[in-house]
Amino acid sequence: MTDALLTVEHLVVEFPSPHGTVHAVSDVSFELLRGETLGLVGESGCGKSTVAKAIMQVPRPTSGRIVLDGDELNTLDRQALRQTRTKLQMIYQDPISSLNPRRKVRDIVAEGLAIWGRGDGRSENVAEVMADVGLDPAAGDRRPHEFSGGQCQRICIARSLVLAPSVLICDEPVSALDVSVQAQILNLLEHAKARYGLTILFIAHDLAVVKNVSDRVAVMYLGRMCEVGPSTLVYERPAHPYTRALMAAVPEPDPDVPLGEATLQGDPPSPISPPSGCRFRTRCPIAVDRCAQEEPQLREVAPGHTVACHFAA
Amino acid sequence: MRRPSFPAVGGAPLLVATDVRTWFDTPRGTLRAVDSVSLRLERGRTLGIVGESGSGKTVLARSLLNLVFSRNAQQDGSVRYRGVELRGRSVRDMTHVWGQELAMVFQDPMTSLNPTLKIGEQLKESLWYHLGLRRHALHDTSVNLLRSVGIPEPERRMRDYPHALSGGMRQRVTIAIALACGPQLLVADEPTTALDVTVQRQILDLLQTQQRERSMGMILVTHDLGVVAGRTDEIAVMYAGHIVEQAPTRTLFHQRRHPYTDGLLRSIPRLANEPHTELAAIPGRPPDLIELGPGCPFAPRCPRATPVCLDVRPGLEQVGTGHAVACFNPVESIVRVAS
Repeated sequence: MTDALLTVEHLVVEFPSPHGTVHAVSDVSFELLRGETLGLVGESGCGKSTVAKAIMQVPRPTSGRIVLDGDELNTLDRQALRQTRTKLQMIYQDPISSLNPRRKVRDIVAEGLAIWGRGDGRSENVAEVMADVGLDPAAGDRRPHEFSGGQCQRICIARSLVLAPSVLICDEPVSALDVSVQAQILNLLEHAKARYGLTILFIAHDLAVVKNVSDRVAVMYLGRMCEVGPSTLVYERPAHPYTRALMAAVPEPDPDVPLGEATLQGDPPSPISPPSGCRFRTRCPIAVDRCAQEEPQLREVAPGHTVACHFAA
Repeated sequence: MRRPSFPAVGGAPLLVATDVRTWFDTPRGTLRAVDSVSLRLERGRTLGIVGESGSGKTVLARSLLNLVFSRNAQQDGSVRYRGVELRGRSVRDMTHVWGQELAMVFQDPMTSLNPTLKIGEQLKESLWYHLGLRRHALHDTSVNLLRSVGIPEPERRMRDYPHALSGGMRQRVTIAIALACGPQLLVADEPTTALDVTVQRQILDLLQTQQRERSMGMILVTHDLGVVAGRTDEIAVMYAGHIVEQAPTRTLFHQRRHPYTDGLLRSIPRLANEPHTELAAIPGRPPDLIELGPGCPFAPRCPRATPVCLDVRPGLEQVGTGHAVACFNPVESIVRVAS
């Protein structure tokens, strides 16, 4: 692969719990190429948000390497990590609860600059970023509760852009928003990406949303990577049975598209005691004995398209 | 204890709502959550009510079942279930209508189940109260209900508390409870919004099978046009407390006339789109239901608005068979969605 801006290698994140160790992320590796949008999809509990947090080193992962532009984040000390982290910014699912309700919008957007001593918070920079995300700079004197969810997400995006990051991690940025507003925010992210030269890791559970913004897609299931590849390829020829099931389950807003058979039954198993071998085998329509014994590794089925399934061709 | 026979009027449609209005008095003024809504549903049919958050769809669903209890609510209009007026009935009068005739499934199964009671207890409650079942019959019926909604090992699950179940399983339990006494009308308010897409699929399939088997009437309330596309006979689109367009499902998707319906359908990201497709977003945001002006509530966001739209609210007009639109400048159909 060429020019990886962010490399994640053998990432493992485990949490202690009263019932045993939670295997949230188990041996996940991928690369985020400079200038691309990588979509990370999976159902709740598959570890996609944990991957995002592990990249930010909050908390530090159990093991694995995370390299951003040559800096190995997991070995940096606190001070160096703080400095490097300005290149990584994150926006979250619930825009309202991620803004401090007591502060003015301008101060929220300018906080990063104030912390790093770049500008005084009333700088043109702030006004410019606010205008870029479609906020009236006059809104700077108001507080978050005066804004709708969509507007609050714009504020969050402005706050993350003001430090001119190289990587933007979006964790379910539109799932709390209404459809008509969701489209505005998705378009805004695309514009911001072009204007600020961003590289985006876009995490979402909605496959249609991910397809619309991503150059490449990575599918996770129960802490493991199932399939990674260029969006068009993964969506046209999904090679992992889980990806296929996920796509078949997306409700198409068209009454002429036949519903077809639901291929997936039951719920994902617990990440406390994941199945042996392939983690998807308990719900997989094509699982055989081999899947229980032998863990499938990611292997290339087409240029740039890798799949972790014994039967992928 | 015995099930009282419901005094249905022979031949009457399952549900007819006329000019339903539910307003709330708030310190800031009157919030018009549902305004002049009329609907009709026949047995065995499914109606989708689609709208964004704050469009009044949940208040409408609750109003239809007489489930609005706020002291500050002003309620007006008529809701006739099998020919009998429900509006204005006291809770006591509704006790044997809820559960036996009308039932509801809510969005969040964790908050609609009692976390301190075992699943079995919660299922048995209405069977005991409404149907007068006791002991073995009560237990067996409960187990069969759990089995019919696709819960594995129903005997064992009866003794579980809700927290021990996954979200999808919990929603199956609330569906079992809703279906326990054989209602003829089931209202499902965002039944799958809290669930993952593969589980959503299972729950929607379950609702559809049950609706067909029992030939119930069903109202499916959702914000997701994808959810109602293949599963409803008719759809009503709500915006700011009003129905702005109502049509048979295929007509609504392919010959929509209201600019809001059109904008909504265009703004949905689709699997068929190429990566980096610019979406046709609707600018602005839904209006405040307290400060609604005299005109069309969608006018400030509408690409087709004319000065008259800001002053006069358009009423629902028939534009085709079963197809009504509230707009002065409807979209000239026939738009065929690329899929």
